[in-house]
Amino acid sequence: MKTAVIEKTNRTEKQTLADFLVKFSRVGILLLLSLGITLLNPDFLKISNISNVIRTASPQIIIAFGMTFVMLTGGIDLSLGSAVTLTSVVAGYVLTQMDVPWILAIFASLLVGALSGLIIGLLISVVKLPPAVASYGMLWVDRGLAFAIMGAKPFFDFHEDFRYFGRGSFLGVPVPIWIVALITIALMLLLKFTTVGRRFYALGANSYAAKASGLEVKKIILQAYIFSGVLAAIGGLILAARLNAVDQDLGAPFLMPAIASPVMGGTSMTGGQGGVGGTVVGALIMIVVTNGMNLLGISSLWQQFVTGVVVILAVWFDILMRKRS
Amino acid sequence: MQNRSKKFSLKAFLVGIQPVNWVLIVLIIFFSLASPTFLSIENALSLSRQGALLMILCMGVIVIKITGGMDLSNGATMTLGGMVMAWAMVNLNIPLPIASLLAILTTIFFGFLNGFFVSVLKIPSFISTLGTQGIAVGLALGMNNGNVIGNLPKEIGVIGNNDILGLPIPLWITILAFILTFILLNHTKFGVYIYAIGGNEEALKLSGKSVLMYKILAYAYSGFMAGIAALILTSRNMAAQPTVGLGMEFQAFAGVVLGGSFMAGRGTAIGAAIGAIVIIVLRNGLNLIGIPTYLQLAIFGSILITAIVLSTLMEQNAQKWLEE
Amino acid sequence: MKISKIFGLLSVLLVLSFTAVACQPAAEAPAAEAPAAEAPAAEAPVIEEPEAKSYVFGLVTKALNNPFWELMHEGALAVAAENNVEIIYLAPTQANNLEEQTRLVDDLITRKVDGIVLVPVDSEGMVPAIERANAAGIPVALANTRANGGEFITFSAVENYDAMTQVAEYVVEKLEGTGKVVIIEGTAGAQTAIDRLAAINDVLAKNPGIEILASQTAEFQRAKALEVMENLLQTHTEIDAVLACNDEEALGAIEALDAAGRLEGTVVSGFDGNSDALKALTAGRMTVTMFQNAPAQAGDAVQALLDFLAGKTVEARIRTGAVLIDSTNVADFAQYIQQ
Repeated sequence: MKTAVIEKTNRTEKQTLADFLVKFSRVGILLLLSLGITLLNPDFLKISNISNVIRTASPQIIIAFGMTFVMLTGGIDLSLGSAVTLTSVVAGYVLTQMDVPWILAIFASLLVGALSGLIIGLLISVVKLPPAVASYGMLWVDRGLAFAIMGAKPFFDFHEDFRYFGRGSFLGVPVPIWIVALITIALMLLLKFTTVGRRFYALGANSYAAKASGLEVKKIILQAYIFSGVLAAIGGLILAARLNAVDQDLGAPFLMPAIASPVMGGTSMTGGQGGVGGTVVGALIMIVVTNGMNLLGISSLWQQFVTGVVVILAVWFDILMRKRS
Repeated sequence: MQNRSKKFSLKAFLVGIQPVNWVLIVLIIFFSLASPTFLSIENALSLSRQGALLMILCMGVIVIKITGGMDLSNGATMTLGGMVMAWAMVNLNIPLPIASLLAILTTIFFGFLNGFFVSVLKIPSFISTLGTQGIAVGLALGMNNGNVIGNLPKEIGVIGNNDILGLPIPLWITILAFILTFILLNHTKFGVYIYAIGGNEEALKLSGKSVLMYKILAYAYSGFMAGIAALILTSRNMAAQPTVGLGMEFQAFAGVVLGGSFMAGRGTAIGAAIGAIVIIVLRNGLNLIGIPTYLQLAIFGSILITAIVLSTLMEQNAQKWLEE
Repeated sequence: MKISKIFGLLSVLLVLSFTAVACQPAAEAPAAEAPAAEAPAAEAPVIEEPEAKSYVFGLVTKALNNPFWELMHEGALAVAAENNVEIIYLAPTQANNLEEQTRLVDDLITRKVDGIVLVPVDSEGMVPAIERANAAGIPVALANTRANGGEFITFSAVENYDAMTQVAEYVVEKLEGTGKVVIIEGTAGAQTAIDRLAAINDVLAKNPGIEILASQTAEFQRAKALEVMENLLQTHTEIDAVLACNDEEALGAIEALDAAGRLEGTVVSGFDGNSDALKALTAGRMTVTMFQNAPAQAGDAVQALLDFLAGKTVEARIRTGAVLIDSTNVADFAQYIQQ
């Protein structure tokens, strides 16, 4: 899979071949890990396990896509964890505290996610705050709103049809996996073939050149962060549907994997490089490692240790490979 | 690299005051009016004990932030330091001073680790400190099977709970940490290089100085601060909980950002200190006037964003306003 | 023009947060501006004491993400309302965080509340805070979880060990003495978790026909229990019963079992008596739980503080009555089901 090539940046044909090799090395890591785990516990390759793993990981992957977009433009979205919490709390509120069709919960959630991203985008493009600071501020705002809406009691027990998104199956494959697959394909196409997508790369790779060539930087930034918010909402919805409950810090654990997955997948934090495919690989590496640890009976107490080591190693390896090419 | 104009102009002075200071003044006035117990010696002393952790962590983070990095691991390393210290005292009967040293060595080690990842391996600080956070958390949890280490010898309570010359020991430690950081940043070569790395790392590299070393030292310094915080934390609780410090890295970041350090090369020890104080005062004040916990975050978030936006606006328009 | 846009943005943000503040759900402690309680005028105080003193008590629970704590809050409010007492309800935003809870207690001490009802996050770690309250002369009543030190006028809770023993014995009976079970533990280090786990293990040890496949913690949280259960379902093809240390964990496990199509026929036990658990019992998704009577735990603690302040003697240990609930008697608890 080739990274998008944009005419206005200084990329040569030789580099895309090197990119391919590097990407293969990432997939290679994933395959090696999977092989190793299977040797230690063949249960890993069971369809039910793989299906279970990907279903559990689908919110994580989708949220990481949001971060990918933002990183492509050279920014970061620290509010993602709280955005997940807020959007799922909003959905929970609509589902349990309001007497309206459950589908409105989905709309409300997406809307709130988009709004949150919009505000961050505005803070960055208009007020000129650094992305880390702007998104960090929204982290607290989103978190605060989530807490305020929910009060002291979590929302639970959602409508049967809504829960289908988390628990249902279509043609034997769990619904969340369908959603992830569809979104992955859609985003890949977006990034490679549409101007909207390719502008993200342009901005991240060289913001001066992008500006000089007339691209509307402000619009691109807004788009990136709105996408991020909406994707966070989708992730949160799947989570809420699976859990049948939302609480005030539902999304907090997702921020770290959302940062690590794109970077492990080759998306540079300075922008311009990477993509959705890489993020999937990066996310899968983390997920496979966690699942492997569970299957091998490694206590959950030590799992964070292993994850931390894996993240550092994977990113370092990635950086090394990029330097070689 | 620093513009110190000798002339004093009131307008320049007022414009130069970071909004965070105004925020602090407004908060103090508001809480003094809203709660009769806020503006009391007792509360101030209580705050100084409670807030020591955050302040000290901020003193470490500001150094890293100026170089353009982040430290997501200090909450976890602080926790681990506390666990190491408690474990040593309870299981190996190691006396308090040496156990304290062990805690600090642990956190400094992680600081060096961070520095190594960032400077040598060139892994972005977000990822590096995220990784070390996971490692520290894993160690803290795994050490004692996720359990709290209690039953600590009574003497450990001294650091966090006693007074010297009428002031709480944590306060003394905080003041020392602040002075140390202030001197480091403003009156030593180390400080100059730290600001230089934040301002223009390439230029510094070209001039032949060892950027690597100073960056690593910056992260090690943050580790050192986390270690000191660990001492106070464990002492106040008379126990080491393996999850106690998680999340504090975000509050420390908030304090530093509130204090004006948005971008690489910007920020001061004083700013970070005031930012930390704002958070401490806000948390305390909201509790004192009885605002339910779950609303406090919303208020905190709005104030944070307002302060940040105001800060940026004022800076961007300072020139314009000064020329009026 | 740029500036006005920004201020517009800011005001939107502030309006948003204040709207959220205004949209507080019902059953709320009113925010006071002075230590003196402002008793709701509509409710006349019931006590015929010569001097109807109005008190301010602090209630500090472990977290905000478990409906159990809100039940305790409501129980405290009920007793408070009858007695002209204001309750300030605080809890750590990060569930079970020791440092946050310590700070909350310290702030209540500074505020010079008349009494504190505390559910310690950690039985060891909260002792210094309790001692500080003692030193300040503020009476402390513990609810739900014990502390290993400090002075408290009473401890109002169920006897976790005895109650969980009942639950475990029920499960063994349901399994007719043989089967494979998994245990989902509570937050490591929490006294309630330790007691309940000990009860489960002791009962199961007496029944050699029961095989314990796994025992893992989910920190009393639903989401974690979902994950843990999913993993367990992968590794173990046959699970006859799940013993969870609280209802939230049981509910998480139920979701996992249901999604895997293995809920039918699996015995699931919890502990607490949450509204959601009661619903699950009624729907046949959960087998048994222990009603902890959270409102009574807090309410009794508040009453104990009042009695103490009025100079009456207070029982050192208030044993809250716990009731085993299964499908046969869940209808009796309909009042505790919300919505």
